[in-house]
Formats: sequence, C-alpha cells, structure tokens
Amino acid sequence: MTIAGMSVVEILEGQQRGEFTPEEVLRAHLDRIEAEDVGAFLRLCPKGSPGKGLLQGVPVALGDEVCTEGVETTAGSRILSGFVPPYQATLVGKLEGAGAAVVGKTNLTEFGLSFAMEDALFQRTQNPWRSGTTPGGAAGGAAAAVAAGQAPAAVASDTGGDVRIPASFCGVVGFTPTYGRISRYGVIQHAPSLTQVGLLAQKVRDIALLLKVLAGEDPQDATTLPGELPDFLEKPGEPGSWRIGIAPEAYRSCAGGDVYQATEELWQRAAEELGWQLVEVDMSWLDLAQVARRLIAAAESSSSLGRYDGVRYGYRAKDAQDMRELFSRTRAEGFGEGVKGEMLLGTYILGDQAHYEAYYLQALRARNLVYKSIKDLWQQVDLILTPTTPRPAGEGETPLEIFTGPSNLGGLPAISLPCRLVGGLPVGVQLIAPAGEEGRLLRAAHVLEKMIDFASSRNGGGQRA
Amino acid sequence: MSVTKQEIKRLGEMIYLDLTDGESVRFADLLNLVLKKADDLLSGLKDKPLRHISQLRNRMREDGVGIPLPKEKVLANAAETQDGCFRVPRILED
Amino acid sequence: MHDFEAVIGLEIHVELSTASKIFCSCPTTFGAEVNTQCCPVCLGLPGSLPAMNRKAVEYTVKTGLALNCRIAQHTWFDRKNYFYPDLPKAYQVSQQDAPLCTGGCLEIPMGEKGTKKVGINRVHLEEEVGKSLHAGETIIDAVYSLLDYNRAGIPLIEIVTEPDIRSAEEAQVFLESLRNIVRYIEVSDCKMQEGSLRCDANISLRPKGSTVFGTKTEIKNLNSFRAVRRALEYEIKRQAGVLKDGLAVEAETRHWDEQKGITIAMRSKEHASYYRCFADPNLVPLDLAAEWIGQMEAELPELPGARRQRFIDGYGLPEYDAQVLTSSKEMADFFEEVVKGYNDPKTVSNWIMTDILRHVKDQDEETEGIPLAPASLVELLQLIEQGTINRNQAKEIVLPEMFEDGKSPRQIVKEKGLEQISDTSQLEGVIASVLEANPDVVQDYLGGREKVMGFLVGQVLKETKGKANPRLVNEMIREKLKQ
Repeated sequence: MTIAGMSVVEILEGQQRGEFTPEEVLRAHLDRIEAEDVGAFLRLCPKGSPGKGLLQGVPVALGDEVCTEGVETTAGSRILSGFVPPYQATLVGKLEGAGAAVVGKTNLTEFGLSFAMEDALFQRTQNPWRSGTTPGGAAGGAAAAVAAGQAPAAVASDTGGDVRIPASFCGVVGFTPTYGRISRYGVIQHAPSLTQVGLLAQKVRDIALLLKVLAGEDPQDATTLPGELPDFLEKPGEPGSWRIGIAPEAYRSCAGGDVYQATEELWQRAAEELGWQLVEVDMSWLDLAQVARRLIAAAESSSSLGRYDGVRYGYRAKDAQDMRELFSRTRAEGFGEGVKGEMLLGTYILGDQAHYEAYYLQALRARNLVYKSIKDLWQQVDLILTPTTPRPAGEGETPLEIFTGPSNLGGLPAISLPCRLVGGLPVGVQLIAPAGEEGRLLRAAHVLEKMIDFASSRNGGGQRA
Repeated sequence: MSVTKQEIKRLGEMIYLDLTDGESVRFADLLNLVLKKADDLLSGLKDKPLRHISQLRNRMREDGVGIPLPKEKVLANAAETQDGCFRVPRILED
Repeated sequence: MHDFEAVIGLEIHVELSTASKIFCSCPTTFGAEVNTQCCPVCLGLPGSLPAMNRKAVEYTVKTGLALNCRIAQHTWFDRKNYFYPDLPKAYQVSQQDAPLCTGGCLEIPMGEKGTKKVGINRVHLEEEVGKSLHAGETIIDAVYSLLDYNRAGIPLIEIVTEPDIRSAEEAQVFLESLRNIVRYIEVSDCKMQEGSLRCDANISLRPKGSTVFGTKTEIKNLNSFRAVRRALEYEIKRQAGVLKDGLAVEAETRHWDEQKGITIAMRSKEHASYYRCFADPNLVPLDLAAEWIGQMEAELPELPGARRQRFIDGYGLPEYDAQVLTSSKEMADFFEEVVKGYNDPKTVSNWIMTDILRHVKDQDEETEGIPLAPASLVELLQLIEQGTINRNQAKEIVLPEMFEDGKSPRQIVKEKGLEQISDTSQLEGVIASVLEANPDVVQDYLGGREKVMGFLVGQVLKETKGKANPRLVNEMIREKLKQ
C-alpha cells in the first residue's frame, strides 16, 4: 500500500515500525497532490520537519477559512484575496504542537455560505469519485483532499453540514464536535452561533485522535468548553446496545429513494448484527429547522461580513472618492453573488422591528423548538441516526443540509460515515449524540464503521475507481 | 407582502453594497422565496427565543496587559497607509 | 423664555480605566504612538474573537451601584451594526436589550434650592471605537482621513439619564456630580479633554405645565462642562425662538460649535440607521450572582453624598464646607489627612476652601488633585499656632512658595527669615521706644481706649519688619502699661 491514501493511524503505526519517516510521508502526499489534480487545494504551505507528538508526521489539510500566520487566507472570497494573517488560529498551534504537518489550504465556497461546491469562486474542485461531479460543500476541498489521499486528515468549519455533506459525497468520515469543543479562534466565520470546527479523515479512530489534540478550553474563545476532556475513543469498539432514534417517515419525505433505502438497510443490519435497539421518533421539524438555520446564518452573516470594507485588509476598490463609494464598491466588487444574497436576506430580517420579530425572532424560537425537541429525544434514545445527505452528489430539490443542519442549531456532536454507493457515488449515514457525548458518538461510529466495512463492502466495493 | 427591487436597493445601501438592477431583481426573488417558506413554517411559534447556544456563563479574563502586534504587522494588509495610519478617502459625501 | 420649560436628558460615555482593552490584552495608554496598541482582536481581523475583561464588567456594575441602579441578574452583549471606518468589525459590541444596570438615580446639589433627583435610565458596557484624524480643518472639508485604532476596544460605559433635567445649569451640575462619583469609585479618570468623558444632550421644550414632550434635538460635541452649559443655553433660546414663531422644531442631531457659540444641524434623525441589533454569539451571557454583586458593593468607597453627611456630623462642618470639600475625592482625602495631623476641622476647611482652592484653580482646569502633601499643610498650620509665623505671612509668602517649589513650610520660613521674634528680651527695647515715641496714644489707652492697642502693636511689627509675634507684643505692652 502506498503511503498516500493511508489513514492517520496507519501512518503513525508505519512510522513507529520504522517503515517510513515523516519526511517521506509528507513527500508522498505532496506527490499525490501533484499527480491527481482534483482542485482540492487553493495553496500549499508545507513546512519543514514537524516535531514530536500525537500526530507526529501526519499531514493535515486546513480549510482556507483557518488563519495561518504568514500564509494567505481567503475563506474562499475575493474580498480577502491577498490577506496574510499576522496571527494563527488556536487549532493550528495545537496541530503543530502535536507534530502534524500542515500541507496546505483547501477550497471552500465563499465564506462557507453555500453547500453547493459549484459556487466556489477561485477554482473548481472535483469529486475524486467521479470527475465532473461536485464534492459537496462548503468544505469540498478538504473532503476531496482526504478522499484523494492527498492528506489523511483535514480541519474545516461546519455551520450546517459543511464538513459532513462533502464527507458524504466523497466517501470519507466527517465529524463535528459539541459546540465549543474545538476553539474557533482564528477561524473565519460567517455565522458564529452555528460554527463548529469539524474534522475529516478516513476512519473514526483518526477523528478521535485529531479531536484529542484539538479539543479543549481556549482563553481566546469564550465559548470553548472548560474542564476535563471526555474519553473520546479510549475503549474502542465494544458493541453497546445503543438505543437509536430514527424517523423513517421524515427521512422518506426528505431523502431520495435510494438514499432512504440505504439508510434503512443500514439500521436494520445494525439492529441485527450489533443489537442496536431502534426507536422511532418524531422529526417533523426538519423543514422548520432548515429555514430557521438559514435565517440565523443569513442574519449573522450580514453582521459578521460587515468588516470587509477595504480599509484594513483585503480587497479595496480603486479610486473611490469618498467613504461611501469606497465601502459600497469594495463590497460590490469583492463579494460573490451568493454571499450578497444571504447578507441582504440577513439585513432584511434584522433591518426593522417588524421583520426582526417576524423572521429573526421566530427563527430563534424555532431554534429553541428544535433544541428542546432533540433534548427530549435523549429520554428515549442514546443516538440519532439519519442519512447525511438527501442524495449523493448531484442535482436535487431538497436542501442539502436538511439532515445536518439540526445538530448545528443544537450545538450537538455529529458524524457522517460512508454508508454505501448509490449510482456509483458514495452517500453517508449520520449519527448525532447529546452535547458533550463525543465519546459515545465515536464509539458507536467505530462499531458501525466496522460493520459497514465501506472499503470492501459488498455494495459494489467502496473503492474509488 | 413581497420584497421589491427598490427595497433590495435600500437594503444594499444599509450594508454598503452597490447593486445592479439585475442583481436587485434576482435578490428580490430570492428573498421572497425564502421569506415565503419562513412565513409558512415559522409564523405562530411561541417558544422562547434561543439567543445563546452556548450554555456557558461568565467567561471572563483578568485585566492583564499583553504585547500588541508590531505596527508594521498592524498595517501590513492595508491597501493604503500614511503616517502610520490607515488612509481612507473623505468620510463625508459631497 | 418664561413660557417654556426645557426637558433635557444626557447620554454620557465614560472610558473605563482598565489596564487592558475590553476584549484583548492591548494596553489602553492615552497618547501612545498611532496603531501601536492593536492586535487581531481590536483590529477586527477575520477569525478573531473577543475575551471579556472581568474588570470592565465590575467597573460597570460599580458605577451602577454608585448610581443606585438595579443590577441585572442575567445579561448579554449585542452587536450594534453600522458602518464607519473607525469601527473595525462594522459592529460595536454593546448592550441593547439587557443593560447591566437600570433604574438608578443621582441626587445633585442645587445650592439654596436644595437637592434634585435625576433618574438614571441605564448604564451599559460597550467597546470604544478608533479615532479618525481628518486632513483639513474639519471633517467636512477633509479630502482624506487617517485611522488610528489604539482607542478601539477600550471599555466604555454609556450612562443614559431620564429626561429629568430642566435647565442648562442643572445639566452642568449633574455632569459634575456624575464625574465626581465616577472618580470617587475610581473606574475612570473622566478627562473631558482626552475624551474619556463625553456627553451628548437631548433637549426639547414644552409649554410650562405641560406633561407632553416636545420634539427633541440631540446635541453632540460637548467637550467641556462649560460647553454643555453654553450649548444647552443656546439651544433653549433657539428652540424657544422657533416655537414662538409658530414653527416646529426639527428632530435632528446638532453639532455644538464652540468658537461660534452656536449649534448647527448635522443630519436629520429619520436617516439615522437602524442598528440591526442581535446577541453576539461570540460572548456568553453573564449571570450576576448576588454574592458577586455584594462583593463589588463592599469594594465601593464611601460615596460623595455619604461623605458630605459625615463631614457635617463628624467634623461639625457647615453644609457648604462639606459640599465643597467632598466635590472631589482628592480634596476630601486631602482634608481628612490634614485633620489627622491638625485637629481643627473648621480651620483646615477654611484654608482649603479659600487659599488652597484659589491656587489650584489658577492651574489647569482639569487637574483635580491638590499638589501639596497633606503633611505640609499640617506643618504650616502648626507654625502659625506655635507663633513662628503669622497668618498673613503664611498666606502671602509661605503658601505660594509651597505650591511653587514643593519645599516644606519650615524650610521656606527659614530661608526667608520669617521666624517671628518671640524672644521677650529682643522685643523689650522695641516696645519701649514705640511707647516713648507715642505718648498721646499711651495716654489714650490708659484713659480706657483699649482699641489703640492695635496701633501700638502695629508699630512694633513695623519696627521688626513683621517678625514680632503680635500676640506676644500685645501681652507685653499690656503688662508694661499696667505698671
């Protein structure tokens, strides 16, 4: 087996056995990036020999919304082109402190505001499973990089499924921890109340390892969770008889037939083979959650993206005669269409008292409804299982984030595992756990991952062509 | 209630965003679509608004002084500087 | 003018004197080189997040407590969104919906009219913006502006009064009292010249006796107490003129032009943008436990009102003295220190209120402290009591020197050779010759006109160039003429 394409754990074990060095690992991944151009990276920034630690010699890709000191960081927007941060995100320091090697910055949709990777502005990123197909977004570059073996792991932000959706489309593991588990300091965000720093890798154990390195309180992010870190995956794999919440009716109405069928078969197998107990629950609020999440994201975006005015950094319109012209043209020329639309939507719903009450405040009420509804579910179930995306990569009516958005509304940990191929393209299955229960989530995901055995699954072989 | 092109222009002015006529029409359509859905799904909800998803409270730091960025780094990303400051064209309009 | 009553409310911004900024550890030093007290947080760089300064919260609460406010048990911070080059994030973190302190009041002294209560609507915490330096005379004819973000992110409190103020004088007294309290509790230096205390005023007129509010204007750029008073006096006259002409007052923001002594319309209020406020997700809410509030309350020093009363009750001072002495913390502290060493409160009070205050006032208007060590005034008073110098010498010669050079009174007395002659053998000869030279006066005295004693003592003082101890001279002459 070649180095590029190995999982994080395989790389660490290989190094430990003396089969290859960190330098060889890095070189192998850089070679793969060069050999197979899927447009995952906006720029590479390989550094010299990394230090010792839990992730020694493990190449990691970063979404381009993660600030890297001295390395251009654009969050996928023209308005930030040329911006070289004078500081780095907390998570970058933690990765490097653990010996990981940051290889480069991956593509995303502008400020991560769209889940449709086709909207990305700088370059087209391909789905490594099928050229010409979308990898999903917003973190399409990160997912494509992991799927193509160009980096065994990636870190990117998730405000509604940005990590899990492309993970589903690209056949890799995508994970978002509890809100506040990983510091957001230095991660460029449009909707901070929804942003969870997510992880992508090939295996659940890789995720647990990355989480162990990245989790923890950060004095520079007031929302980071204090206290002892829970045991993420120390006791791997004992098949617990988890009570699993499923909402077949809601899933059927939101997901395509193939995807629904794949998910249903999976939970049935899990019941038979793992002894998981299936509990039908109500999720009639999925549509409501979707629109509430979008409104909240739009409202926060209209505020968070106000700072891009051409004064201190980033793009600046030429020859403006006064401040209004400088601001208005800088922003008109610097932002893409999708971002403009969401900012206008956000401005509308915050822009006067009546709209604020009818839309923004109602969205916060809906958020509470979803929050409480899921909280109530934990009385009956230990985990919730859903499709990750309503369809594999491709066109469709249902919003891509229909299944992934609710966990962002609730600040809950969730993971997407490759489930099977549908029409030759991967689709994922998602598990959601209560806040703070990443340990439970990862243990269950680990068991489920083994059962699915995606890489050599009978469903046409979970291997890229 | 439907959002008009003119209203979109006004919103654009609020957030300092020049919009073409074409954009204004497209964005009016977009907003009408999303707001219609919001009207259908969200109106009438009586739950308490959830303002903060973080359950944490009282996160504060002590009042200690640290080292600021060097001035060159403060100004490094600016398009235009003068005398150690960020320069902008006249603030008031004609 | 007598037809109308002014209704005035003030909005006061006070920069808190924390060592670091509200959300980052950048220093808050005034007057530093431009853009040298900035970091990713206060520059609003993409990805940066705020970390709340505990002291900024505590200072706000202390201000609220000192102004008799209710302290919120649960509160949070909002984003107030607007665009301006000095606002790095295009939003100001502030408190719209849940201010830390509400519903207080401040009692202000109105001389013979007694005191007046002014309601405090709210005190909330927010962040300071940067500074625009305009190239050109004013912002209006500047061709470009330069931005310095050293000030951005200094913690700022906004204090909003109820519209309880009825005259320009009351507004000034309120502001002075407020500044006094804020300085008492040591949460800000309140220097209007440096901008750490700023005031905007809302003012409307209504027919006397009416309970309905008229249309108000907002007056900005009030950079001194004098400006507050003058601007409001001007605006009252202006609005009265408008109303008397049967016209309507425009709801607008007006700029005070200090040179011209007028207010000028800036922009119409209708165009003022709506701030699109919502809770900032990057800061978690505050729950203020009663215990924490109690602790802050316990840390508050004695406030001016209580101290004034104590000066009356404890030192037996007249109300007027107590009022003047407690009108600044520094002065009240100075008084109490002096009294510790020289236990005659009324004498100390007289000295401070007349001679010392006169010297202080000759200096910078903003200097609040008394540039004297309390011990040196104690020494001066003791020198008078011991008869080493007389009161006149102390006031006219020694005190000015003390302010000038900071030398001790004893040293000044020595250097200037001011010691009074209290040696009877030295004085006897002088007295004898004065009595000899003024036989008529002596006769008058012996005939019962005791008043002439003053003349005789004066002659002795003249002969000794003022050094003779007048009390001693008086006694000695009396004794001599008895014989």
